[in-house]
Amino acid sequence: SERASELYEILVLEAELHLSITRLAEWAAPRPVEKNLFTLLDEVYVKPEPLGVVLIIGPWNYPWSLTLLPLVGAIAAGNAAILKPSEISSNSSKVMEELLPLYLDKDLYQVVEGGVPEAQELLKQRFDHIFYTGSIAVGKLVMEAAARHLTPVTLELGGKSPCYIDKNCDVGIACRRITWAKLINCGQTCIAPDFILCEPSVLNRVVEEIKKCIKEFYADSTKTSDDYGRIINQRQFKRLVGLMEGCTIAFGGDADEAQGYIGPTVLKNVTGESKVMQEEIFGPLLPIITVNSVDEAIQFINEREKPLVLYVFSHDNKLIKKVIAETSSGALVANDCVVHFLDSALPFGGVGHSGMGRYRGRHTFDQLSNLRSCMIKQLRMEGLNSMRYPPHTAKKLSWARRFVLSHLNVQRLRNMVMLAMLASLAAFVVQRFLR
Amino acid sequence: SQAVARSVVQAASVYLTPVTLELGGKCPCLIYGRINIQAAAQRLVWAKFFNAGQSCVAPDYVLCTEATRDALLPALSSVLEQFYGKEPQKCPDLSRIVSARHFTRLMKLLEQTKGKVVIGGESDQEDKYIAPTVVVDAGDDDALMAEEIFGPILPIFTVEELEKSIEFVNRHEKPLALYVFSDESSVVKTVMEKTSSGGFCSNDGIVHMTLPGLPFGGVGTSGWGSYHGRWSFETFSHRRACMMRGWALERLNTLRYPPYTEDKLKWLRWTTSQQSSCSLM
Repeated sequence: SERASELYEILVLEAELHLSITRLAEWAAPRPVEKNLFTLLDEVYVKPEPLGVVLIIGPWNYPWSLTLLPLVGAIAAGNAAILKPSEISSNSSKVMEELLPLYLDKDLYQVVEGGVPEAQELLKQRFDHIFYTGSIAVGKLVMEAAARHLTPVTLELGGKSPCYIDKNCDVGIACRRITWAKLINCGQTCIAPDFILCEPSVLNRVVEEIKKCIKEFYADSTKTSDDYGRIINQRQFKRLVGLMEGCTIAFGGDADEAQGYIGPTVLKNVTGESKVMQEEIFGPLLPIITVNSVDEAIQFINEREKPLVLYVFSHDNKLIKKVIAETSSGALVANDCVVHFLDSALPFGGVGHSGMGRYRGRHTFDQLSNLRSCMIKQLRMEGLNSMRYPPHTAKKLSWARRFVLSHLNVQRLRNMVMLAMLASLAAFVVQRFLR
Repeated sequence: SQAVARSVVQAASVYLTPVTLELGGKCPCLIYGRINIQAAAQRLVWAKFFNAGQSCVAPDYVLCTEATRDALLPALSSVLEQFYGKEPQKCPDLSRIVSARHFTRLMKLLEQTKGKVVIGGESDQEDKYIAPTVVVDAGDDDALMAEEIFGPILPIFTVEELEKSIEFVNRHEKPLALYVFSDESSVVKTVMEKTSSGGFCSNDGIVHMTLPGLPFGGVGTSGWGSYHGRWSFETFSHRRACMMRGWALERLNTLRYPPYTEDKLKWLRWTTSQQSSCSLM
């Protein structure tokens, strides 16, 4: 629906633009670093500079936010960019191609529409950075193509994001948040909770709560509700219907090919070997796998590729910390889903097969900049340099060690000087006035 | 090297393994404006002939005016004698070339150059020794510009204007490090702003990489990623974003749950338009 689009695509873009505009001066300023005795008199800093031309390949599930968010960072970092929106979300791609040149400099920012052949042709060209959001399989091809020109890449991929529900938590609230997150865009979200892990004793309660939430969110029918999405195309529809094989449908399972509609479906009697567990679902199917303890859940998670995000629902902080310590994922959210994407201070990205690199807010700016180390020295004080010039002697070496290995925390030194001044002022005041 | 790096990245792409590539390139050294020639010569000689020029951040070639070159050459000679004595081959502080293959490679560069050797040029194959050598009057298309030298040969190119010098640098790949020697801060600033490189150091060579606070790495074909100090820690870590939400205030969440209404959207627009990055949901 129109409101859902605004909620999930436009709001986050507006927030990112606002942040980038207000903070740009801070992000782009030279960043001083700690000096040692040897470099005490020099100016030493990291200077963010543009990389050049960035290629941004966007996905079809959130064609506007996920294609334009990296563009905001690319522009902020001073780069030119070529956008290749996904051909699968063809309407968005067409509108992007029509509108962008009307508002952005045509020479610096261009949109190239097209499918696989156009993408392959683009990938043959040389870019200074490639930013790809999409599937793992294509991510590998992008990196391989980038290898030819030694172009650095940022890959925002996916994976199966597990969602563990502790039996002692407030299952009602947990299920409401999970159901909301799962059914956004009909499950076609890279950070949607892919499957649930919980103990057998809460299985039925979880199923009931999810059913209740669906009624609450979509009134009586998801099919007629304006707020329930559709599957993007025939191919994805057929794939999803196929994934339901071999499991018991706890509820749901309605599918209408003509409309591209698949109703919210909860699957039980699912094991690690089930078809639905072999690939990222990316649809409104929610399998529930039973495990006997959090340790078993952790083991199940660690047997698989590192996910883009891991969800844990529990009132027990110790349990949450245990999951954090014993697993790895792009991100971890306790007691909610998806919302970490809204915090632009958090680096958003995967690890292992779920991706490399990170973005959002300042992280995009840093990712698409050359952080150039700069040292500005003067030709004075040449005498000091004799300790490094040949002929090398033991004495020179010991001086060099002293200078290079010294750690000069300028801020701490400054604080100590201030403290010393304050202390002497206090002593003076006491002496003079308070005797 | 770049060739091997390409294979490394291709291999890594099969498993989607992130890579850090510390490569090389030709590090230009521009000398313009007012300058303390003696100090500059000392630092340049130290940086260039350290480890017989086999440093990825050694100044690869020099760009300066003819007048500067004429003042620089005798300074270079005297500093070389100061550091390595009258017979450099006998000096224990002067390194050798790492292998016969690289010795042959460097000798070939000296044979193929159309420039003139004005300092050094002596070599000893058995010892894998090449004297600190300075070459002048080579062109942009010279053999010495075709690859990273990685040896004790220093070509000096004369370009009268700073702007043209910067263009010369920008015609080649982005280097791992870029050096400028000048007593004029405007010269340093101009070069910094109009070029791109992994690292930048004015009035010295190599030392910028001794500070662990500075990220050491290249850009473009000189490398991908950086390390040293905390940068190494970050390179080999995954910065996992963690968000711990509370259970309270579930009512507030109705703003984001369907059915979507104009009212709900109004509130959400307000929360996300806030400057601070905390979310009210």
